[in-house]
Amino acid sequence: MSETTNPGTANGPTSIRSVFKGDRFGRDSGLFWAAVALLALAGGLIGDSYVLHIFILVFIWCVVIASWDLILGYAGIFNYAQLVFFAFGAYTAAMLSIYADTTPLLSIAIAGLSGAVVGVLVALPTLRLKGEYIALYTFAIHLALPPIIQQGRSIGMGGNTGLLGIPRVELFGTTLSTIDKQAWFWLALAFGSVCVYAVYFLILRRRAGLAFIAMRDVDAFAQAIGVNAVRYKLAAFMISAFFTAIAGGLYAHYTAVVTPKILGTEFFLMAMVMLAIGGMGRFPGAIIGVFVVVIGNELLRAFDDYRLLLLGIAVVLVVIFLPRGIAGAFLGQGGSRSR
Amino acid sequence: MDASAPQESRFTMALMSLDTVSMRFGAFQALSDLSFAILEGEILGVAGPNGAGKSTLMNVCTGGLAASGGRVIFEEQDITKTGRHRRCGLGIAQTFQIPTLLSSLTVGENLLAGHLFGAEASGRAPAIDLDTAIRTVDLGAALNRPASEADLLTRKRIMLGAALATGPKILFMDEPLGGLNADEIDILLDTVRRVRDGLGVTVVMVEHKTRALAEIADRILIINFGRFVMLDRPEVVLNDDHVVEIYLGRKHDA
Repeated sequence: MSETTNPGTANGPTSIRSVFKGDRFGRDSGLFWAAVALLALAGGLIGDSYVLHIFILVFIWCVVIASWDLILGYAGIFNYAQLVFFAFGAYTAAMLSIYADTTPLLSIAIAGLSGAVVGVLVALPTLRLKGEYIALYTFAIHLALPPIIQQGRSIGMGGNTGLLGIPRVELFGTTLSTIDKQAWFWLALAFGSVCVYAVYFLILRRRAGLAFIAMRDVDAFAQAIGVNAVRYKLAAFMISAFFTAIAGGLYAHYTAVVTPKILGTEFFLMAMVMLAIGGMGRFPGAIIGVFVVVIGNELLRAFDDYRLLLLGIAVVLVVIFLPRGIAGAFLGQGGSRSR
Repeated sequence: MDASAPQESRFTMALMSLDTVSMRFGAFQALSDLSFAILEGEILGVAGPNGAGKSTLMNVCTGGLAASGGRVIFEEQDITKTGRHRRCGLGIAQTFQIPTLLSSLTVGENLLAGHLFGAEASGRAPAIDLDTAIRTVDLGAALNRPASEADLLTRKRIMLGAALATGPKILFMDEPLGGLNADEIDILLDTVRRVRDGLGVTVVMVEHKTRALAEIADRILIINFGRFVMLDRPEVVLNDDHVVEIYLGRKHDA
C-alpha cells in the first residue's frame, strides 16, 4: 500500500482505530483547550491572590508531572531524578538572569535547552541498567545534588540560602513581580498548557508515544519489532528534562527565590503522590492528580500537623481502592486507549 | 501432511548462515561451534532436548544475544554483533516463547507498532503491508479489542502479526505451539504455511512437538548440548537412531 509508512495521514484500507493514527485528535485537543480557556476565564474572576497563587503552583506542577508521567508512566523508565531537572532549570535560569542579565524569558528557554542536555547525560548510564537499578541510580543523583549546590556557593549558587532577588519577568513591556498574581496566573497557565499539550498530544500521541509504551510493556518485543530502544530512551529523558527545566525556570522567576529546598523530601513526595493519585500513563490522570493534591494539600492546611498524615492516608486509600489512580477508576478502557 | 515431500533441490540459496557459532555464559558453554545454513524459502524446524541450546540459538540469530564466537551471516552481511532492532530493519523477525504483547494497547495497535517501527528500522515501507499482515493472521475482526483480553491462540497471532507487519524476510518462532490444543495447533500451522507460501517468508521454528514439526518443516535441525547433531528432511531425522536415542535414551538402557 502506498500509505504504509504513515497510516496516520489517510484512513487507509485498514480499520485500526488508534490515537497513534490521529484518531480523536481534534476532538480531544478541542476539549483540552476548552478546559484551558475555562481556567483562563476563572483566573479573571478569582480575586483572592492566595487562590491565584495556588493555581500558579498547580500549573507549574502540571509541567513537571506531565514530563514525569512521560518517562515514568508512559516509557516505564524508573527515573527518580525528575526534580534534579527542575532544580537544574531553576538554578540555570535564575543564574542567567541574575549574573548574565539575560532576559528572564530567554533564561528560561536556555534553561530548558541545557536541561535537555543534562537529561541526556543522566540518561547515558541508564542504557546499561535495568528497571530498579535505574531507580537507584537516578535517586542517587537526586540525593547528590544538594551537596553539590552547597559547594556551588563559590560559583554563585548561594549555598543553603539559595538565590535571592531573581529579576522579574517582563512581558509586553510590563514587569511581572511575584505579587502580580493575576498576570502570573495567565502566564503560568499559558506555559503550563502549551507544555502539557506538547507532551500529551504532540509527543505521546505520535510514534514516539507508541515507542515509549512498547518499551514499557515489553522491551524485548519492542526491539524485535524495530523500536530503537537507545534512541527512544534518550529521547524520553531529553524531552522530560527539557520541559521540567522550563518549569523550574518559570518557578524561579515566579517566586524570585531558589533554594535547595526544592530538592527536599516534601516536594519529592508530593510529586509522587500526584502521580499515584492521578494514575500514571493515562492522560489526563496525572494532571488531575496535580489539581487534587495541590488543592487538597492547601485545604488540609487547617489541620496543620496532621496534614501530611492525612495526605498519607489518602494515598494509602487510593493505592488500595484505586490502584490505577483516578484515571484508571473513572476512565476505564477508554482512558487507557486514549493515551 | 504435505503429500509432495519437498525436493532437496527446492531450496538452494542460503539466507542466513552460522559459521562456527559459540555462546558462552561464564563457564557454561551453551552453543559450541554450530555451523549450518538456513535456506531461503524453507521452513526449518529446530529440535532438541531441554537445555540443548535452542533458545540460545534463536537469540543469537535474532539479536537477543551476540554470539561469543563465530559469525552469523545474513544476506552476505556479518550481523554477529548487530542489535535486535537493526536486525529487524534487515528483515529478521521473531516471536517469543511466552506470548509477549503490547498489552496496554489494542490488537490493531500491536500490528500498527510492528508496521511503523519496522519501517523506521529499515528506512522504507515494510515489504508486507499492514492489511496483508492482518489478513494472514486472521485478526481483521479483533483489531479494536484490547490485546490484554485475547486468549492464548489470539495472543500468538497478534505477536506473529506484529512480527509480519515489520516486513521480514525471515521469521524465527520460539515454541509457537506451546500450550495449544490439537485444533489450535492445526490453525497455527496453517497460518505458518500461509506466511511461507503466501508471503514468501523463510521460517525457523523451534519446537518440542516433533510430530507437528515433521508435518510442517522442510528440514529439521537437531542440536544437543549446544552441538550440531544433524540437519536433514524430517523423515530422515526422526528415523535416525542417534536422534531417537537423544530423545528417548539408549535402546539398551530400557
